[in-house]
Amino acid sequence: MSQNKSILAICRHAPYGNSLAREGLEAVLACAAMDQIPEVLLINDGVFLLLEQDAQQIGEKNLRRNLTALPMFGVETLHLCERSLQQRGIDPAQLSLPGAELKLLQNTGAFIAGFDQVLSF
Amino acid sequence: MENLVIDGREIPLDKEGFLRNLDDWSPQVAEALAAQENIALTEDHWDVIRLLQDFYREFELSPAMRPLVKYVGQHLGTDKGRSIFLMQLFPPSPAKIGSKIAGLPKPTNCL
Repeated sequence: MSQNKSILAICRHAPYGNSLAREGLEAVLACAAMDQIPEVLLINDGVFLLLEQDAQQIGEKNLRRNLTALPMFGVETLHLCERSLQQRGIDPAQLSLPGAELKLLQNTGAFIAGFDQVLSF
Repeated sequence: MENLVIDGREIPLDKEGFLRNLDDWSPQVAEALAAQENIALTEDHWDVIRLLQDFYREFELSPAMRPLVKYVGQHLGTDKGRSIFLMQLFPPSPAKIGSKIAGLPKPTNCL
């Protein structure tokens, strides 16, 4: 991977249930640790990552807590698919992540098309 | 890696010297782990060890180098939030060696 390629990581899956959400987050953290800071898009059930979670109940690590580490790793903007939020009855005004800016996207297709490389989880 | 023996109690380590059971951590264990890295712990070391543990509690992650530098800078000031300062404390890889001594899991994104 060359330094100047733009990378987008798409998180499409809800936390827990399967390991894709975790794998996606770890890929983002690994990229960032190697100075390849990707943009992150939460879409479909991936938007559930932003909601409060009580993962201890199922003996898992709290993925929202991991998500709050992203600004520390240099990922300061999270892109959210507005339609995915609407379809799940989530009010964007209720969402926040310490240290990060949340940006709503109306046209996710055009956004995704703008990247050189796309990682999909 | 040999297990640690502290006060007659055996503390299991993995092959890279990380604690197998994070509950085994104590300041004494930290001293012993640091000795294995040829590090004598000073107040500066303890400040960073406490921050590493805070970081883990806050994010449920062991930090990589970049976030560690940033976190230390936020809490101890910009003169300490520098990689050179951390390199002097925990050579050769502050995120990894510091996490080990602080009793954190090995950073998964530390390649």
